[in-house]
Amino acid sequence: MNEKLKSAIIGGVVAGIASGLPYIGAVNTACCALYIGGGVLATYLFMKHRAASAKAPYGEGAVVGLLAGVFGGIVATIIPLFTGGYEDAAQQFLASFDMVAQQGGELPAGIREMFDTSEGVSGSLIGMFLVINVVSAAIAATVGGIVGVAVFHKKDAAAGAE
Amino acid sequence: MRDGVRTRPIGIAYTVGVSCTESTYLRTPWRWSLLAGCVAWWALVLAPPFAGAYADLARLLLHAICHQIPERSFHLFGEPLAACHRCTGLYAGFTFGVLVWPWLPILAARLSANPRWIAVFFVPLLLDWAIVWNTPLTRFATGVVASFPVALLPLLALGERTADPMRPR
Repeated sequence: MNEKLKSAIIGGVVAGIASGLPYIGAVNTACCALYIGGGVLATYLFMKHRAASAKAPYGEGAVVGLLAGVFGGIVATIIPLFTGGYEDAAQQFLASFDMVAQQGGELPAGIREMFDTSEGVSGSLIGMFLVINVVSAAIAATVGGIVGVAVFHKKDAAAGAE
Repeated sequence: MRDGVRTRPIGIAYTVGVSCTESTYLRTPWRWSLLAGCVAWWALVLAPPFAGAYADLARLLLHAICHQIPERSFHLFGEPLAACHRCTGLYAGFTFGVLVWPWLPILAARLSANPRWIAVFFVPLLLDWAIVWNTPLTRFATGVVASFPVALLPLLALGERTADPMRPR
């Protein structure tokens, strides 16, 4: 398997599992720290076997981080299906809908049904969380990937700076 | 320089030489896409005060990535923003960095030559996080200080990914 993809899968899956777990996932409230960490981990694995170079490959680090974020977002969407995390999230949304209704706002028809988890989690709810998770994880892990390159890049002193 | 003739450039020649490359990278037209992303992000952060009855709903969009404790968030028109002081500072520093780094090529060259220095800028943030008597100003300011240098790295990455190989640098 492509080294870039392999590193991204490992970094993404680790970050995704951690983010999907109750309590541990709350670490993400510190600016997506777990996803940033996943990007850093993916870049570390990617850079580990790379030869020293004059210029740090920030672009490649960004791609590895982005891929790690996509995988992490997908995994973080799957995990709460088994831990019951969607029920809590749906309750928060339903409470906000009540607030909107109290203040005279109108909601699109059928939106409450989407967040009603009494008969299981709906596909559209999972789809919505998939989009939110993948987008936020991709942004954070890309930053993590680039920062990872800055930290783990082995500088080739003989080639000088470019 | 790129053909490896100068093996160990030092001093001013080094700085100026690197800055030529960095300024080409930093001023890539693609930086505007990064800035557009920042604007979109700020729209999410600033949305609640303008969302009326939907303020809570607007805040939920960023709930997974920020604790959003009202006492620890800036307020606008009496309504807390969708990010805390520290996160707002981090976003502000990053956006400011995206705007400003293309005009600081020498500083950018020095930092990109020693990118691990970026970790140093996180020390005030960690100290502020660790002490209990921090204030809104210290939380915001240390966030700005931490993320400003980080903004250089995506600019370099974008420049590297989008650079025209035929264009002399």
